[in-house]
Amino acid sequence: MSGDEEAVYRRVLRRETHASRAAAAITVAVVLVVLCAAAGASAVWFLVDATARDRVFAAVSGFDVRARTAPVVAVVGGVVMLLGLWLLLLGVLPGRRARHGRTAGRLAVVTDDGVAADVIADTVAGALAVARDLVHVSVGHRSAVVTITPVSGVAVDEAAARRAASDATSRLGRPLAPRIAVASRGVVA
Amino acid sequence: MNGTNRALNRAVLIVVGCVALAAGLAGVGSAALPAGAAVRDGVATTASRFFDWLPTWQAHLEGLGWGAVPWVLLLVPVAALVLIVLLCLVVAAQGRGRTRDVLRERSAGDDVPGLLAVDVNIASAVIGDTLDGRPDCVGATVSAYRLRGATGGAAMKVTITPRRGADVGRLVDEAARAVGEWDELLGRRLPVLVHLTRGSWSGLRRPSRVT
Repeated sequence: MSGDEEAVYRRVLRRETHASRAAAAITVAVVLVVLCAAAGASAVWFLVDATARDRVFAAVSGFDVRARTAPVVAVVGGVVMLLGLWLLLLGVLPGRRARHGRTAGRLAVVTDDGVAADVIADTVAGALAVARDLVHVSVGHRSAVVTITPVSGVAVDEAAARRAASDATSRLGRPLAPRIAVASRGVVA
Repeated sequence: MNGTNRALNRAVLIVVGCVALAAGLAGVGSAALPAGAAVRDGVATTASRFFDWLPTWQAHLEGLGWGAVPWVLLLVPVAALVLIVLLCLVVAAQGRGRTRDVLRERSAGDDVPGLLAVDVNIASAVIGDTLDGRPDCVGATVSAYRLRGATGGAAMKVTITPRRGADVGRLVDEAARAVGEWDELLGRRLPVLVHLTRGSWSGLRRPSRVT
């Protein structure tokens, strides 16, 4: 793989595994457009229509009273503050998506965590010879938790399960350390 | 894989977030701190003074005395319009970059000038249909995106939905083989991203054993 291609793949994989924040940016933009349009329209209306002017003055006459009332200011300020904090976090946090990217020879491969979980669960269920429905896997960024619901009266071979899970993760090309958990309540086969 | 300007999105969120956070903090602070009462009084007084001041212009407005229009109010629609245009640009910068042409270049020969374009459908027939026909694959689609720094300026994305129980490693190998064939056919090496996804209705699908 040439250096150019490597750089392109690195960029593509980073973009595919991180949120674009498009939805949040569009929402913010649309809300601000509506507010701006309202402000601009009311300013023009205010200029050309005398009755509108009177109505605006009637509406704002209570403003200074409201601005002096601490609870109102606190509640409005608190809501605006939380909204701002949330937007700031959206802007700063990496926004990792539930996917994992790697290069595999000629290709760049992105695997959804759900697909990885399915593969691990299939492998473990096959190795232990239990029904696929009895193996539940949740995959995170660096972890995979395999929960096995035992059949009543049959011991679960945890070492075999761990081996199968490690085998599946290495085939997926993911550096995950699988953790095996056995549910405390079994089911009747 | 699209050309969304992510730095712009984050910049918009950070700027708007900071402004809202600062305004909210000022509000909460003035309500909670003992010194805040004076601040609130100051703001309220300034505001009411502003609202008292506005009607003094009203007299000039009668008979369309446009020269005497309060400049503040003319500034509001202008600023609003500028901001609206900027925000529309932000929205327009989202999600572009999808293209129909996998390859697009001027032909090299001097005697036959022209433009060569290869449609993504051809790539779809070579790569997508090969994978789509497999029993361990629910579906495979090929799409093309314009991409900076890529050969021919485009990259391909192959989205594969494996059937539950499929050997994903073998599916990726198969995709690599199909892409190899495509490379030979095209005579170029485009960046190719393979995306393994679960699909929206995977939970309802029948798992199959593929050996």
